[in-house]
Amino acid sequence: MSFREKTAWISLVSLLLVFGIYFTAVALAMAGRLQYSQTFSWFLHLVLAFVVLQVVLRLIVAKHAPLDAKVPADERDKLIGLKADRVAGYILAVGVFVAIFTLHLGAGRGELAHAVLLAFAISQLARQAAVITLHRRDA
Amino acid sequence: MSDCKISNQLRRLRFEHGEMTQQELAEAIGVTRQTINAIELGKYSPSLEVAFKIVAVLGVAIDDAFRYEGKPPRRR
Repeated sequence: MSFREKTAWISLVSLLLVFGIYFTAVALAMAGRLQYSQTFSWFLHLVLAFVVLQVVLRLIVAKHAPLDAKVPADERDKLIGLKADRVAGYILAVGVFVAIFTLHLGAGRGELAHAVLLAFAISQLARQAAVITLHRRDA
Repeated sequence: MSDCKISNQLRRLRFEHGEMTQQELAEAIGVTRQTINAIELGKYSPSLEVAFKIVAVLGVAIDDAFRYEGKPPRRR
């Protein structure tokens, strides 16, 4: 497995963990089992946790394969990145339109913000999944 | 990336070039080993720049290493 694929797995797992916890908190708040204002505090802590998780896991992977980690992204890596960005872009665009429709279903500003954030989360998960798939399919 | 119409003789040429490994070729031209593997398997067509770097390292002409297998374009 290449260094790029490993870092994509790290991002995928970190995103799943962080957004999974965050949207569980949002669901609890919507069910009245957590104060809505507390979700913002959760958000800030989880963003920090995401950054720490990314840095630590990437350092561990780089330590185990220092030569792979030093090789800069080549033309195939960049092409895979561009294709994955396109997938993420389409999903984000559709997600934002769906989020805007929630306004017409009586959603408030908070719900709209969370719907947009959910669209972003799904688009980023799809991006990492596309990077992994393209690396595995063509390697 | 997998609709590649360019065949190549890289595996054979590597072995004729002192049994060069994919990793050695990759390091010589500045790409990853996975990219060399994808080229050899016909799953990725390299850019002209990478193709010329490969033949320069292997010391062969470009058409000894790569060949276009698709239909020739129609003349207008």
